[in-house]
Amino acid sequence: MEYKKLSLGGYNLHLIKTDKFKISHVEVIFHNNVEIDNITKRQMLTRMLADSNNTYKTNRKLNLKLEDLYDASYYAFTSKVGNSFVTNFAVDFLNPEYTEKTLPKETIKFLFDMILNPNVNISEFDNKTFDIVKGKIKDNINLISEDPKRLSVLNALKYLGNTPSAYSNLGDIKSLDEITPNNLYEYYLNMLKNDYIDIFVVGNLDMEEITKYIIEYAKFNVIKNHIVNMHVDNKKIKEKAYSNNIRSVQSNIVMILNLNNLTEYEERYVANLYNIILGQSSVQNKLFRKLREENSLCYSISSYYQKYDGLILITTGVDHNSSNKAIKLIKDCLKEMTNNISDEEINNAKEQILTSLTYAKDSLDRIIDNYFYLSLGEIDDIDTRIKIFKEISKEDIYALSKKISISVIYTLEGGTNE
Amino acid sequence: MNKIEIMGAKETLYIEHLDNGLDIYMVPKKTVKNFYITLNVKYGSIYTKYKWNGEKYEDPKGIAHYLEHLMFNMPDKDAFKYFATLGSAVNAYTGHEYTCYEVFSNSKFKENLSYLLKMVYTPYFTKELVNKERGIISEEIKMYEDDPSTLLFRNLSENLFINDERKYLVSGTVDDVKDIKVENLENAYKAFYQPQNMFLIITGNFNPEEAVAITSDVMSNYGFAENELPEVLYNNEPFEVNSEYISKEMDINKAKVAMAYKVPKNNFKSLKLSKLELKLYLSLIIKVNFGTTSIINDEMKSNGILNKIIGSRIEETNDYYIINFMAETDYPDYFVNRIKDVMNKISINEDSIKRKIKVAISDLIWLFDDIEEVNASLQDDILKYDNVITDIYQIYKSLNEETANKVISKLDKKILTISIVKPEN
Repeated sequence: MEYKKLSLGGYNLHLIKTDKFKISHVEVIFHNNVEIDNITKRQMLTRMLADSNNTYKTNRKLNLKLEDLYDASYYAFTSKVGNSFVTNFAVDFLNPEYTEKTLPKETIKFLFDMILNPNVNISEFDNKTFDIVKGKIKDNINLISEDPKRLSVLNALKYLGNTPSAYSNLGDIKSLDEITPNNLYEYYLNMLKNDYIDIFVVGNLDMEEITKYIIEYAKFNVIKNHIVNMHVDNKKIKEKAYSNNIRSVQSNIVMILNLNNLTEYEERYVANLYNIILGQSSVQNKLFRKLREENSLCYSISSYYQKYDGLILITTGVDHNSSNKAIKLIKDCLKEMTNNISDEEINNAKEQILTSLTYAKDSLDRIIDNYFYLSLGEIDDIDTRIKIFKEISKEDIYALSKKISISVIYTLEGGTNE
Repeated sequence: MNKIEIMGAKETLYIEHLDNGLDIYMVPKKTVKNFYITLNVKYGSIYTKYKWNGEKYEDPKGIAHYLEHLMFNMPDKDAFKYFATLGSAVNAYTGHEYTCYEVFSNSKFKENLSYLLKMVYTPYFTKELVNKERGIISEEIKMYEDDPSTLLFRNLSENLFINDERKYLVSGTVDDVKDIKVENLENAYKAFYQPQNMFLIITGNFNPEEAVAITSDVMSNYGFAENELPEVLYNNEPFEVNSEYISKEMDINKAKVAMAYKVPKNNFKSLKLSKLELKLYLSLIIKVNFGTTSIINDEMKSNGILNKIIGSRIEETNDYYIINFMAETDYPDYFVNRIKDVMNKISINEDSIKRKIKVAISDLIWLFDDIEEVNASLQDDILKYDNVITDIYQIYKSLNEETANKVISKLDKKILTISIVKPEN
């Protein structure tokens, strides 16, 4: 894999040449500080630019075009990463050896047409498209209440107080109602002008040719020099339990842990390993063993490390009569994390990280993620990470566990739908 | 070992048939570091009645899924623990007609493959373990009971099928699993978990010769008796539905609707198409008329009936194709009527066929970038056609307007059922 970065005034171009894939990928990433009032607007704008534009005014016309491009795949999404918005517009297309030599140029032209030529009449988004997209966003927000697990996480986060971490990435209905075709267009112009922009190209392509196409179509000229700080400083708060009722069979429990005053080493490395041993993905972790295997309390239980928020979230669904027992057992696991980690647990966690980091080299999305966060100085390169992870000791984890505090215990009580 | 080129994709399929009856299908890919192994059993939730070794068995529902959970127990420790030491991701899932055990990793290929085989060929069911698992499975079932889509499709299946076991949940209900005993599980295991009723698929970075050697070696430690395969007893499924319409209320914001047409396979017999060709034609016809580029999708989005596209899916039973449509809408009855209108006037032309063939061929190549997708595609072929389809590229190119219209003319649209989950009043 050959990597090259070019700074081209209004944006950075990252070229990653590899023959791993039968497809190629071009992705444009907009990146800026979060504005809590604009979370919903950002989501709406992303969908507007994903569903149609001035050339392809309906989603059907857009899909016909993608079929013409040998079923290329175009998609866009916005994430709230800690204190920042990250908005991605991406297109995947078959390599020219399976299609036509002109396909890369045509597809790149298409991608920038989607971003830079929106469906706008004078100074506002086309009203009909706006209404369709608004309906879609409204559905997405309302659907949360139909999913007790997601609802319990969002409800729990609200108890963190006025911090970006407490707000749903999807936005809210009140803010959605305040969006107009005109103020959304103004927000679009603002994003083009003020966001940092990184363009990634991955594939077995003639990168010199590709650079020419990007320069021709990526008309982003504004140079930015403000600071984007991705990290949210969530202050330690006193542990408190909250609950609501819902008509569901199970009770959903969310426990939020604050990670206080971590060093960069702890934040990048030790906390990851801590989370894997506690409850991330692998089915061999403390929470899974204690709640599912030893007590048959749940089908699944997981913990998630949100590095940029300085939080760990633990979620599970249990019988409504077992909530208290489940919370007690989770606390027992946290206690064990302070003084009782076996060699097997730490070795297994390191093996899991090694597998995941090796996998990252085979995944298009992970390759881009890796170079994006590397270019922001937020992570080290994969080989360095592998080396450092291998050296983490039990003592490092015990020291970290002393900096972890429970802030919110939330139960969405079920038991009323049986 | 057989070596077959997969047309259009520049990839090679390796097939080995072991003496004990196990078939191994392999697509190596040296440009990646990962590998993905699935060990599949042709045994799923619908196989609850069977004859074997002169005895007739009638099992409680949910038994295949229960067995899947228990297979991770080993006499010395549970298999999860061992795979954790390798840093691998291991899991399993059960469908109507199969159970699949999977492992994904990028190092220690021999250890991963060996242990997956050992795990599945070492049944270890104690009363204590069976009881422990009952609580976990009950929570899994309850977890889905809160999901409106589960209710929607459960109602759809219950109304679509009269006797077919597909009308029941793969997992069974909490009450069903209360009745499952060690003896049921042991019998089902002995009958169905025989190498000649199973197949192994490996994709990603590995050496096929080595994979075959490891598999043969591990399996030589097990004395597989030369048993006959069980005869699954299917219930005759009539060309009718239990009920044409069911509507339930739930605490949700937007109605969910699902429709299923029950189309007899016999209708297409005179066309003399292979099973695969017929499936491709049906899929093409539904995509053209209801897919992302269809007029009905655009129409229903622009008049506010839908915000997202219409979902569609074709399933197969022994005697029927089941054509499903699903959507979320505030106007479920209008949606149903429009789908019926389009189904009644369903059509296709040369241009749209060419367009969809181009898409299908692109997707075929695309698929090979993802070792999990390749594995799933092979699994689907083997379960449906008892073989891997390596010339699909050629078959796609042979699809034509004249035959597509003949298929349309035989498409029976008389029998359907509709399931709606509405917000409470």
